[in-house]
Amino acid sequence: MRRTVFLALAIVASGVLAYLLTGGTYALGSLSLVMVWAIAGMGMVIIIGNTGQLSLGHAAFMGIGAYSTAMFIEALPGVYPGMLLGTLVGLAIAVVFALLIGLPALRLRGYYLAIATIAFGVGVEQAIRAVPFPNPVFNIPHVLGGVPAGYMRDITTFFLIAAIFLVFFTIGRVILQSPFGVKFRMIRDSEVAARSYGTNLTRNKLQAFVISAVFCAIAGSLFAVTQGVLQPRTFGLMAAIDLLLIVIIGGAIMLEGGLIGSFIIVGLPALVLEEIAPAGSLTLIYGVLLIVFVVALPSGIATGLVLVWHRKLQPPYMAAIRFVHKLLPVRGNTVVTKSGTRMFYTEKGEGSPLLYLHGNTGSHQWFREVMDVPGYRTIAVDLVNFGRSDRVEVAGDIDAYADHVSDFIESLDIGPCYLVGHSLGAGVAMSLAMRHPKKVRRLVLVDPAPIDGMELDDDFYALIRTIRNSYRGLRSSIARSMGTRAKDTRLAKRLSREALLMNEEGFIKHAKALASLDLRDRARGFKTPTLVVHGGMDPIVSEEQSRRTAEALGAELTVVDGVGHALPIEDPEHFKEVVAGFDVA
Amino acid sequence: MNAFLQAITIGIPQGALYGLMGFGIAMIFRSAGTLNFSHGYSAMVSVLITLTTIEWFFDAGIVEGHAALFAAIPVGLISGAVFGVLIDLLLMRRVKHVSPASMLMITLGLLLVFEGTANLVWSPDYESFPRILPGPPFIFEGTGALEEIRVVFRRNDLAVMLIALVISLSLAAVMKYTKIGLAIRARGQDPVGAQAVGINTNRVDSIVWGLALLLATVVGILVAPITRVHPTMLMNTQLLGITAAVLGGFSSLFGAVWGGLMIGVLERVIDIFPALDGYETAIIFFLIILVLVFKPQGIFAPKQGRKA
Repeated sequence: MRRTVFLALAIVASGVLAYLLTGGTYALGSLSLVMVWAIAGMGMVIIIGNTGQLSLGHAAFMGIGAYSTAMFIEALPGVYPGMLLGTLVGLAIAVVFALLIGLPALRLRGYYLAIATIAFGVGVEQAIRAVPFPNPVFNIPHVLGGVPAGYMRDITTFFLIAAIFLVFFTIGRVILQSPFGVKFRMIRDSEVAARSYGTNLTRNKLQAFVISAVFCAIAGSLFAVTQGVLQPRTFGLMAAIDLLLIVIIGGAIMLEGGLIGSFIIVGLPALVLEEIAPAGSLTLIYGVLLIVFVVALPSGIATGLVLVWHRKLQPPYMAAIRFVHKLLPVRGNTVVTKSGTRMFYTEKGEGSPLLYLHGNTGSHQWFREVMDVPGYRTIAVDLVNFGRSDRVEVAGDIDAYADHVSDFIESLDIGPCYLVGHSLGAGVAMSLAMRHPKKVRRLVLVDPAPIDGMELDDDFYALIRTIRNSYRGLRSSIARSMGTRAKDTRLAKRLSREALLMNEEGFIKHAKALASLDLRDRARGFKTPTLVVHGGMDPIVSEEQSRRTAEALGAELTVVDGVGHALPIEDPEHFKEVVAGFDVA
Repeated sequence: MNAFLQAITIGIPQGALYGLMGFGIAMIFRSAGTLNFSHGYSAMVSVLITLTTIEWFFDAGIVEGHAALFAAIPVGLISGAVFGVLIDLLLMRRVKHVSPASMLMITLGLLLVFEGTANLVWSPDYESFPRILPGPPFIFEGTGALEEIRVVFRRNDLAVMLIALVISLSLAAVMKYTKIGLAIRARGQDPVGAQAVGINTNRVDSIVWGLALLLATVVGILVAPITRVHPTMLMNTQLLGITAAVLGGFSSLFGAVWGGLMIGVLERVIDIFPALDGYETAIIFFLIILVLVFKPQGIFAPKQGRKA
C-alpha cells in the first residue's frame, strides 16, 4: 500500500513537473502513453523477472487487445459499449491464446521458448495484417470523447490512466506477494527445486503467462482508445523488443521497473529525444543499453535504486530522521551532574523516589506507560550515550554508566532510591548497587543482562551492522524486543527514533559490554533486597540466565508468563503491580 | 495444378535463401552456442555497404553498368565476414558465461544496434538493388495434354538457385573434407575435447561467425532485388531462417537447408488458397511452435533412443 501511494505521488509529481517544464499539456499525453506501456511492462515483470520465462510474444497480446477494442467500437452503436465489450473480448481472446500458446510453449526453455514466443508474436502480427479490417485503423474514438479535445482532455486522461495503472500495480503486487508469486519466483530460481517442492511447473508457468497476457491486453486496449491510430507494425517484433527493453532496463524484479523502463523507452523519446536525436540514433543507443544492462546490470534500474538506497543512502537517511526527531519537543528536564555531564530525565508523582533505567537502544520513553505508580516519585532517566543525555567517551563501559547514574542520584538528591533496571539498564543497576550500595534501597531487575555475560551468536555482529546501517533493520529489531507488542507500529516507530539518538558506537560496544559482563565476584555478600522479573517468552535473555542472575544476587525470581523481553511495555499494569508489590514486601 | 507448379517454382529459390540463412544461424548455434537474432540485420548493413559501393563505383566511373554489382559484391561479402569476426571478438567472446536468455537478449541488442546504424548512416527509405541476372522471366508453356500449364520462372531465381546450390555443395565439402570443417564440427560436438586435441576454439568461433555472416550477406544480396534495401529488409528472411533451422533441427546443419526449402514451398502453396491468402507467415509460425514442442530435435532428425 505504501508503495502504491508513493508511486501515485511520483506520477502526479512527474505530471506537474512535465507541465511546468513544457508549459503545455502535450507532455501529459506522453506520460499517459508511458503508463499504458508500463501496464504491459508490469506483465513482463511478472513473466520474465519473476517467473524467469523469456517471452518475446507479449506484444501480440497488446495487439489482440487493441484491435479487438477498435473492432468492437466500429461494430457496435455508441462508443462506450464497444469500448467495454471490445476490451473484455480482447482480454478473453488474449487469455485463450495465452493458454493455447503457453500450454505447449512453456514446456520449452531458453532459446526454444524465445523462438516459440517470437513465432507467436510475429504470427499474430501477420494475421492482424491479413484480417479483413481497415489497416491501419484511424480515428478510434477517444476514451474520454465527451471531454473536448485540448488541455482538459489531456489532464483527465492522465489521471484516468494513472488510476488504471495504479489499480493494476496493486493487483500485480498482490499477485506477486501471494503464494502464486512465491511459486513463480521459485520456478525462476530453480525448476528442479520448485518441482521437488511439489509445484506444478506447467500450471504455474501458465498462470504467470496468462496473468501477464491480461496485463498486456489491457495495455493494448488503452493504447487504442488513447492513441486513436493502430498499425499492425505497432505490435510487431519491434514492440516485443521494446517490451524487453522496458523490463531489462527498468528492472525485471519489481513492478516499478515497468514504469521506469517505460519512461525511458517510451517517455523520453516522446518527450524530448525525438526532437533532438537524429533518426536511428535512439535505436542504436537502446541496443547498446540492452547489451550493457544484460551484461553488467541484469537487475535493472528499479532494483539498482533499491540497492543504492540500502547500501549507500541509509546512513544519511537515518541521520536525517535523527535530526528531525531531536527537534521535536519532549517533556522533561536536564540536570548537570558533578562531572559536568548533562542528563535528561522525566518524572511524575510524589512520594519516595523510584528510578527507572532503560535497556540497550532505549531511552526514558520505554517507561512512558509506567510513570504513574501511586505513592512514588517515578523518575526515568536517559543513560549517558543514550537519548537526550550527553555522549561520553566510554561507550559501552557499564561501570562508567553506573557512576553517571550515581552522580545523577546525588544531583537530584534522591538516594537511597528504589531502582528498577531493564535489560542493559539492569546491568547498570547491578553495578550501581554493588559499588554504591548506599544509593540503592531496593532493586528490581527486569529481564536483566545476565550477570555472567550474554551469549552472542557468530552472526551477531553482522546483525548489529544491519541494524546500524538500515532503519528498517533497526525497527524490526526494536519491534522484536517489544515482545508481544511488536505489532504496535506507532510505538515501534517512536522507540526506533529514540534508538537513533544513541551514540552510534554503542551498537557494537554495548553488545560487546553485555557479552563480557561478569559481576559474579562482586555479587558475593550482596545485600540489597533484589527481585528478578523474567518474561516467559523473552527471546533475548533466557529463563536459565535470569535464574543464574537471581541466584548470584540471592534474589527472588518471578517469571511472568505470556510476555517477552519488555514487561513495562507489554503489560504496564502488571509491571506496576510487581514494582509496587516488591517494595511493600 | 498449374498454380501448384507455379508455387513450387517460386517457392524453391525463396526457400533456398531461407535455408542458407538458417544454415548460418544453425552453424553459430551449434558451434558458439548463440542463437543470433541479429543475423539478418548485420547482413542488411553489409547489403547497404554493397549498395553504397555500387553507387560509388558509378559516381567514380571506375566500373560501368552491371559490372559494378559484381565489383561491389566482394566488398559487401568481406564486410559481412568482418562484422562476424568483430561481433565474436568484441562481444560474444566476453559473455560466454551468460544464460541462453541473456545471450538472446544480447543479440537482440545487436539487432537494434544494426538497425539504428542503418537508419543513422543511411536512411529508412526503400532503395532498389540490381539483380544478378536481369532480364525477362522464363515462361514455360505446356503443350498437348499439358496445355493448361504455364509457369513463370524469374530469371534472377536461376542465379539464386545456382548460387545456393554451389554454396551448399562447397560448404558440405568444406565441412566434410577440410581441417577447418572438422574443427568446426568438433567444436560443436565437444568443446573440451576439441581443445584437448589442440583446436583453438576461440579461433574456430571467430571463423564460424565470419563465415555465417558472409553467408547471410550472400542471402541479403540475393533477396535485395525483391525486398528492396531498407533497415528491416531481412527481418522476415531471418525469422524464417531461424524457423528453417528449427525445422531442420539445430543438430544437423543441412537440415536447415531442407527446412528452408520446405518453408519456401509451403509459403507459396498456402498462398494458392484464397481463404488463407495473407495468413501464410502466421500459419508457418504457428506450425513451428508445434514442431518446437513435439519434435524439438527437428523433423529430419533420426529417431534416437536417447539424447546424443
